[in-house]
Amino acid sequence: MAIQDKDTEGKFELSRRDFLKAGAAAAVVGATGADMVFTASRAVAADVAATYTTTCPYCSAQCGQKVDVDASGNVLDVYGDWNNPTSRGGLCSKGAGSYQLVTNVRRLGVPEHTAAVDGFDFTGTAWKRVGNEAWTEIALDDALTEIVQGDAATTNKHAGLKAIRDSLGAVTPGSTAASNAKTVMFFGSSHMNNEPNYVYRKLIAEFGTSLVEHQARI
Amino acid sequence: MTNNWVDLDNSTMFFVCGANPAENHPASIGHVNTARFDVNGRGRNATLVVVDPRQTRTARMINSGYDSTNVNDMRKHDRYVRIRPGTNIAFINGVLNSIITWMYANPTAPASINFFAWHNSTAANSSSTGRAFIDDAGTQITLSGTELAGAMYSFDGGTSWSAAPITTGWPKYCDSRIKVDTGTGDYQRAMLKTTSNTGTTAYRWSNMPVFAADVEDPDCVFQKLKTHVAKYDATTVSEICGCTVADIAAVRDAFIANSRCSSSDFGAATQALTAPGYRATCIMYAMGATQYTSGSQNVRSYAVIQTLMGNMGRAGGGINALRGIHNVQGSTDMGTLYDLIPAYSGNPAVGQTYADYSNKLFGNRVLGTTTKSAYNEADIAWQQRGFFNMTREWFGSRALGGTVATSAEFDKMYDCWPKGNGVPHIESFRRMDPAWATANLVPNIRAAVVWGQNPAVTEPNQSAVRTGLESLDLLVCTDMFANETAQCKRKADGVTYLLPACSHVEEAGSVTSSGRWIQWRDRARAPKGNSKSDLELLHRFAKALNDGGAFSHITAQWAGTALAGLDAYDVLWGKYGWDGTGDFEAVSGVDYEGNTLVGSEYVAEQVFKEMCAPVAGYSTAGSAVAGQEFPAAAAGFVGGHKGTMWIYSTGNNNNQGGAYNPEYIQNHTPPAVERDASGALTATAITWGIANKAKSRKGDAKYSGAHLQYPRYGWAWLLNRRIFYNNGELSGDVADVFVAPGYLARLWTIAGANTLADWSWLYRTYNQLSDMPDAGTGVGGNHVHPGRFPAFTEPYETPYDGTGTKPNYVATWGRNTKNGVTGSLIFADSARGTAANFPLVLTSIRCVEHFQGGPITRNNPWNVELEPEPWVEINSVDALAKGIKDGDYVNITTARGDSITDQNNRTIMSGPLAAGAWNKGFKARVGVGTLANQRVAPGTVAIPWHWGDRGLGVGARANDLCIDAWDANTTIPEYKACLCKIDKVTP
Repeated sequence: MAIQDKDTEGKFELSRRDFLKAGAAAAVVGATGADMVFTASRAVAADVAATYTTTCPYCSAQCGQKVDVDASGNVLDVYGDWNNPTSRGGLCSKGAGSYQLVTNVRRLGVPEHTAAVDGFDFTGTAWKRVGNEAWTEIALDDALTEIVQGDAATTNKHAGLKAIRDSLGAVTPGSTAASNAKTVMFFGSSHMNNEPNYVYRKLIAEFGTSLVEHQARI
Repeated sequence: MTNNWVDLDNSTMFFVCGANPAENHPASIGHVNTARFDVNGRGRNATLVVVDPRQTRTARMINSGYDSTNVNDMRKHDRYVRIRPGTNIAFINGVLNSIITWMYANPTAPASINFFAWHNSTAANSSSTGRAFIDDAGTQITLSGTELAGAMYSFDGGTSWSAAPITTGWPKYCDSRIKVDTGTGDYQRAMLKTTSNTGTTAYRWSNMPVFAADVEDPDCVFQKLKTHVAKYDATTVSEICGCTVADIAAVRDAFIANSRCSSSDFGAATQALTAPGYRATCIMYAMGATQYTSGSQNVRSYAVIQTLMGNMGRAGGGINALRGIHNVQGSTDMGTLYDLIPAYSGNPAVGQTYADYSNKLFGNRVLGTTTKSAYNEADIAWQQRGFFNMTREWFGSRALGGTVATSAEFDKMYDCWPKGNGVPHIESFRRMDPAWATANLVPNIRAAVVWGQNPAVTEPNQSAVRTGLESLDLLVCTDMFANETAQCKRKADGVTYLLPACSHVEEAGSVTSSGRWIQWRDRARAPKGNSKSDLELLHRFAKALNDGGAFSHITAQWAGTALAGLDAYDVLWGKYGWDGTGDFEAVSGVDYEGNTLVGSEYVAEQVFKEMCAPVAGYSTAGSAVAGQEFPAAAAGFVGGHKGTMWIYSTGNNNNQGGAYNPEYIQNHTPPAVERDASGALTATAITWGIANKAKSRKGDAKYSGAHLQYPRYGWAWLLNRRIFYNNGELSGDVADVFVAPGYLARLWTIAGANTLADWSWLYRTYNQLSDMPDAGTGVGGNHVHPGRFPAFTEPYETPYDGTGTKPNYVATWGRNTKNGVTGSLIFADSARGTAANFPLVLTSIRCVEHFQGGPITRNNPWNVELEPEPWVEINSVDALAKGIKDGDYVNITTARGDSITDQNNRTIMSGPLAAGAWNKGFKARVGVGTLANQRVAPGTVAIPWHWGDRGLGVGARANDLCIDAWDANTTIPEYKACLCKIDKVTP
């Protein structure tokens, strides 16, 4: 079994593409719904070690999805969940294509993402750039430390979130406006699950600001 | 959504106004067609009415044919109505006017008789004990039993007084029969004298409204509405909207035929939703309603027509917002917005005490009473309780506070809340520009953390947005892809960091659908490669903030308490399972059922439990007690929910189970079906069998298609309600606490006091609408009636501004403003185009193949192959005038910029980060056939907004063009209507 998720070539993918096109171009609307495609898993049954339940990452209908993985944890397919009362096994051309979102070689941090894919090698754990210079790799925890505490190096010197937050005065608990810093803005995100949204909002409040917005405004 | 996706099966009319579900929410069409083609065998067929500037793919679903021999085949009402962008309210008010006129013109028609009977129907007001009154300062005060014992009431302005309030004859469903005090813009209220009146007058104003005997009373809300919509006659509306007079009559007939007044269960104690004669209209809307400067009023106009027609709280009815992103409901619930904290509580204000803040939340009154304290856990409920718990979980622990005696401890935690609101999104980008901040006397935003969002595509007026992003000292982006925001142009010493997020199958957690269903996502595998779950990245971010001293203001508050000297990360974050070192994905633990959970699967459940239930407040040793959320042995259980998210938790001191509940039985729904006379479960009751109800995937086929709608498939807030605002008329269900008799739906927005004139103990604070139309000269200022109904206003940029060839409707109908201040919905530095220079209306659209700001589809080869580049839909008349043929590239120009030049040099066009060839313009899709059959009408062009300058598929950015004028209530920009001109270009 391959180490990486299978982004199969040849007939498998061709049939999927045709089927997506058929879904997208559907002019006749049937009782099963416009633009929806219904298919069972394309994985070879013998390869499937476990099947998980999730929901589609696109619109707020939250169609049910099933995820087949092999014994090594590789995702074999993402397909419609027939048990879901909202979607009844159907997925639109975005949802049906979300298998490719998982296996996409352009994703940040995946081993396939070499410089040939997107101009930079984004296989590392985090990246940094100064001005409009090229991206450089940086370890994730080093990046987070620099984000908070700044980079004191003589070149690339910059302040971190804490110093920027306190630049107009330290955060001071109490009933005054000094409890609410106005120099750091947070955005996001309807693409996160509830739990990261909740702890993100918590982190922002604990950081000492109410400067936060996300996609619900747009 | 007041209802939910599955409930669409029950509708007999889909009124789609400002949405294109066939492309943007395709799953809904399965349910629409189930109702249209009678898949459930009910002997009836639903009609589809689409009102939209574009003849969308949803609109193309009309006219599927109908059976003329079946009186219950409603498809004969199918209709597509084309209106000009931004004229929704004019159309709705025109239909309302036509409906009311018809009701008076046809007094012997059953629908008319039922319509008036419904509005004149009465209910006993079982809670009309007059428990509150309004003091001299306008504050509502709850009366003690002693005071009430001697209270006198007058419902006629003081002429007659009685020792008890009126308990019979109250309006049953809505406020149509309640009288209006036009002087104050409030409802007329009953006078009340108590034994302890000490104010300046001999009486106080009760919170009980005065109602009329029937809707013919000239002072009642219904008559005010009739007067308000009278000027929206069919001819006037057809000229504003660009539709026909016949369109209005047809939609009127469709509404009358598919509302409560025409339903076979009219007057029945319970709804008969499976009968062929059942009727209910569902309104579906999305950004075509909200993305206007009149967005809030658009939605309010839907609320008015649905309330007036009795379609609220009905299976197959309701007002259903088709929200955009999969978890936009959940993220909104979590309050990641400048004016909110989780569960729709606001930010505590500067100078506001905790008791005052708590008193204004939904729950029990804690001011003006000696019997309840905001600091006593047992005295507060619902939203108050959630905030109380959240304050302790976020800034300390449940070991602190909780009683009156420990109020000082609680205040130390409350002090940590940042006081006051943040900054709306559009303004935030302006504030990033030091020059703008200095000129406008506001603090300069110097750093931004952008998590799972792509404002360099999605925000309007990109030139200003990118000026802001360029100016930041520090920009942090987290995404699955190197998107436009991460790779935007930056100043020479600006530093940008990029962190890798994982895909949806690699992180566990709950998500909340548009129908408020909470569903769990499994973790199918660990995050791929070096990508991380959002939960892990946020925990590591919190750890870095902690180690960098960013939480020292919180730990300083802990001096002298049980938390003194402890580490902030350990107390506030370590409780979720990851101690700050080592492999996050190796964290594991056991859930309530004994299963081992790993990584984000475990951590997410710990967070979920904090939201919905105590982290450690239950014990498996205790035995379940019917009617209680937790086993009796649970430590510290005092009744009422212990979650921080009150809407996800059990609500009050009763037996309504929350989304995480170790008792396996969901107590509340549906008692009549699953409970026997003693309240015990029947033998056939379906149990959950799992504590984390978001993980429940029970099909419950025996309830499918009924209003109960898969009650064990996930969990729906509030209280697992799949339909909101029911009146106790759904068979097998009970009256919803929000709109039972005595909790009226409201056609009217009062202008005076902000508080609801509700006579029950559940008095609620209503947010006053902050928008206000200009008083147009042609309508006599009728918009600004004290207290309001929705009124039509022109978009900020409109062809009817008097500078072009069209009539000047701005002068007649006005534009929206904030609190009457002209020009308040757009910054002075944002250019406004006029019809003289920009003759066409530009509206933004979406397609099924791509998603929002684009990173998660424009990097997928399949999606890019299906729709490789953005296009512009042009009517053949406008195309001919400009010599544009199908397939030509088109440059679109607005007052903010055009599509082929780099906006004010705000995109990196050279060097190692140079963008691809994204600015070729939009590819023309010219309409074919008769004008009525083309996608857009003459004078309107439409462009998708998914494209940008990064990724596998690149293309012109719609938001280089769109206007950043916003709705005063929501700050949502007017993406759906601005002015432009078009020209053919050769790339």
